[in-house]
Amino acid sequence: MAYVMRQILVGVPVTLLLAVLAWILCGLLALPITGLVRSRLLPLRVLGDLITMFVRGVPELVALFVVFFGLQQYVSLSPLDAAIIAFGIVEAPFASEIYRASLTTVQRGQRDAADSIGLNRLQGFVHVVLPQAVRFAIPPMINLFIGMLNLSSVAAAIGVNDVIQRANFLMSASTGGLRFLATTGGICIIYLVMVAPVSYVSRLIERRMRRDLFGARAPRRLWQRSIVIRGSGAA
Amino acid sequence: MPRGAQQPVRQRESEPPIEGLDRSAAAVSYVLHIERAVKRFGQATALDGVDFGVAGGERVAIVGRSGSGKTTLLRCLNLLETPTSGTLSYEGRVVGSWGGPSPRTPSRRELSQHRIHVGMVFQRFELFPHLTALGNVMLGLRRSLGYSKHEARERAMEQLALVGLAERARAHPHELSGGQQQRVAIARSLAMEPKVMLFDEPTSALDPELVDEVLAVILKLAERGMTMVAVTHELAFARDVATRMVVVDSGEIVEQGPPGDIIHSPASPVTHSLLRRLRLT
Repeated sequence: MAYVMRQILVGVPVTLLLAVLAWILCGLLALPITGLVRSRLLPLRVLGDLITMFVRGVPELVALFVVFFGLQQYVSLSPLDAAIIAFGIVEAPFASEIYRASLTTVQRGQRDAADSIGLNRLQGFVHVVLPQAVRFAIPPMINLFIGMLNLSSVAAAIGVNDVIQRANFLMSASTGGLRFLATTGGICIIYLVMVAPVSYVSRLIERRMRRDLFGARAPRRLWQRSIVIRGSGAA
Repeated sequence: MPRGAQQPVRQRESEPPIEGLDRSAAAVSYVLHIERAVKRFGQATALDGVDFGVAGGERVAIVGRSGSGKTTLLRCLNLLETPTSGTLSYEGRVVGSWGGPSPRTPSRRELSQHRIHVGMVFQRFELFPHLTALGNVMLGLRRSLGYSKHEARERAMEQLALVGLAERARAHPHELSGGQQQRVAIARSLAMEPKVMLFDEPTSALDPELVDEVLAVILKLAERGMTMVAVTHELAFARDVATRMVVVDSGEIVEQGPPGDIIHSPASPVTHSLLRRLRLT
């Protein structure tokens, strides 16, 4: 078991790197898409919707193959590069939907209030709408990151040397049922250990955000019973 | 502009159309004046040719049934709502004119400037939830008026002190009661040094026991000679504080005059039934 774990753990940095970079890329690519979808001009809006619809319909594995084997003919891409690009693109519409929804949670009255103290459109957006929207976007974006962590396992299909790929080697090199169990069990534990802290931090941030904006508490999870948020001075 | 200029007259004759920048005597005596204001939302007509002006030092109470167009009228006065047609002037100068022979759309800059001159307090406060009370008051000072951080803080603290909330400056809106939130909203608006303050049902979202603290702040402003226009259901307050009462129904002004007169002897049946309902609540 120890040998198995040591072998798989080598893949952890690759998995994390892949997930983090693809997540950042998708977050960035989502910005222009959100701009399009929220545009006042109908043609741009339609374009944004089309991009969202089309890209969202592409299965991740297909995107991975298209980028890796397709783009490979023009630029040289390592499997890791290809996976980052492919996942970044495929998940971008989901991030864009998160941004869009977050922006719409900021009510019209807030814009009115910004207008009423003489802020222009840009100032109103930067100082009033955005700070609130960002708080709404954080929990679902972290959720997206967890999805990205799990999605990264697919990258083994093009030979990215991540956790899954390491495990594949182990399993194909062995014949014993015990080794198989140890390996799959090991994978589960490793993913759990990667995801759990992220989920945990996500809950903390969500509670903080709700407290900041509404003074309300987010429902606690069972395993968070003992956690006390410091400095909650709600009257 | 004379403070507390005597206000016309019930059932004022509608004034002759003013063309473009040509200013009639009536337009000049008003700080804020909207003429022949029409506002349509799709098929619905919210304002149907309203002439409304407010002179310096005047305190106008606008009353009317819900959906009568009173809030729309208020929102047109600081151009949160753009009239479908009509002309809006501030201190005798045309800010914008729509749908007429000489249309004029204010630039973004002029729009901001106008809203600094004409402050607004909302029914649901609309404080910025991510900022403290102090931050709420400082934002306009910093970004619209270009105050330095230090100046803005000082001035914002003065305004919070004026509404009696200096010691709550660091609190976020959700940590304040509704009445306190509305007082912060008043301070936020007041900080811009507006010439006219608009109040859109400032107490109707409040628990009854919190109404008085907000009315007290508004009264304080009245005593300082602030020009204001308030949509309100508080009849007693309107009677005691307002210099003129305007009754709006179906997007038109049906009656106006001294609040005491209107409350005691309403001329229009619309006013009569409205007053009956307001007294009951």
